[in-house]
Amino acid sequence: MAVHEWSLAAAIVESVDRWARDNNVDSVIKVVVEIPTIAMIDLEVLRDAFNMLKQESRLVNAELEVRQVSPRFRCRACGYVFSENDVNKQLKELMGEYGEEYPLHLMPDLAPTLLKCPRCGSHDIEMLESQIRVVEVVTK
Amino acid sequence: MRVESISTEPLRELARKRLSGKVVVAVMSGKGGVGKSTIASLIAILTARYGETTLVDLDIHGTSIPRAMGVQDRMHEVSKEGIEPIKVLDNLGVISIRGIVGSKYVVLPGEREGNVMEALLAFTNYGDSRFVIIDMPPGMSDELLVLGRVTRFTPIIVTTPSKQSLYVVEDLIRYLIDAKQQPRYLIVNMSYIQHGASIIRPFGDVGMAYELGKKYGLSIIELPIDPSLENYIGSIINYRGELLSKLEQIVRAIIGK
Repeated sequence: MAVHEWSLAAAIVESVDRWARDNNVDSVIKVVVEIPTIAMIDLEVLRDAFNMLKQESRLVNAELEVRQVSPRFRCRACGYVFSENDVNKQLKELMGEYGEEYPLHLMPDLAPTLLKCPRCGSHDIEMLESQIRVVEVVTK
Repeated sequence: MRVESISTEPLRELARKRLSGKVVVAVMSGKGGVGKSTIASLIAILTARYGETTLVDLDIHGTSIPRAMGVQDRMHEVSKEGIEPIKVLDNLGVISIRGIVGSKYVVLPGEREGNVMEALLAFTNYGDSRFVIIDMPPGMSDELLVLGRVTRFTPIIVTTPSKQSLYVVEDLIRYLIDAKQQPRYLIVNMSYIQHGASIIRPFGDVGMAYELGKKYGLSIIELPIDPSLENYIGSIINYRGELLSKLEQIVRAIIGK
């Protein structure tokens, strides 16, 4: 059962609630977040958790919109630019090895140590869109 | 209705919230190999006598805590409340990247390191822990900035009596003072070895440590080399030797007993 999504939902609620308090916003009605696809987040669980955890905050009336973003990679050793598709086999192997709580589910930033450049095998991998980010809010 | 582009820091806020109200102690040094992990483990064992404690191994590239505690083959469970510490005592749980990646090495480009440390601090379920003891990586890098962003902490600095270590440690002390995290304790590890009735100082005298202590207002705690400690790697919770009794004074001072 997916449960890490609860911590992500708590992080979203906490950070947007803080933003709302800092900016004197009483009611947030929508929150847009970006989540890296390699984290394999269960969106339904994330939404349920968000709806539970928002109750005591300025997000009580907010809906959650999730945009899944596929990270882009660039190998610093050989310059090869690649996408998630190019490391699909490696990702599948990792999931087989670790099971549901595979490390990139908890911490997508670990990708460079767990993946290798598909061309030269280096771990010196640059990565964009590696973390959950709140990008937009709609307020009353 | 207004649409606003914002940029919040979800993990940072979660870490702040989860650590708030806890006594956070960070065991650090500019230098590696001075005994930080051993001392952090012993301090955590001592604070656990007074209240629930979580020991966080923030040394993501060179985890030592799981081996000291003998839990290097255990993986963390994850619950709705977060990453669950591995219990080594009723009152003491351990968190380490090793419990997430297993025996895989962790080599990361610089820009990823801080994020992983922040994630570790944010996603941990500290439960009712009153104390959070942090074993910091060697050096002076992102870990200092990441920890400073999410919580106030009591720094405990560890050095050997060697000038090579003390010179680096002085930089760390000056940084901490600038960052308004005045350190109170300088542990001079491996200061001496007791041989019968005589005391041998393998690194020579510890005068420079006392000078630093005086200059920056730190109490000095000299710890001996205890050869028996090596027998407790993997079961450090059973260690009852001299280092433990010497560290007790620091722990009592931190918790106000």
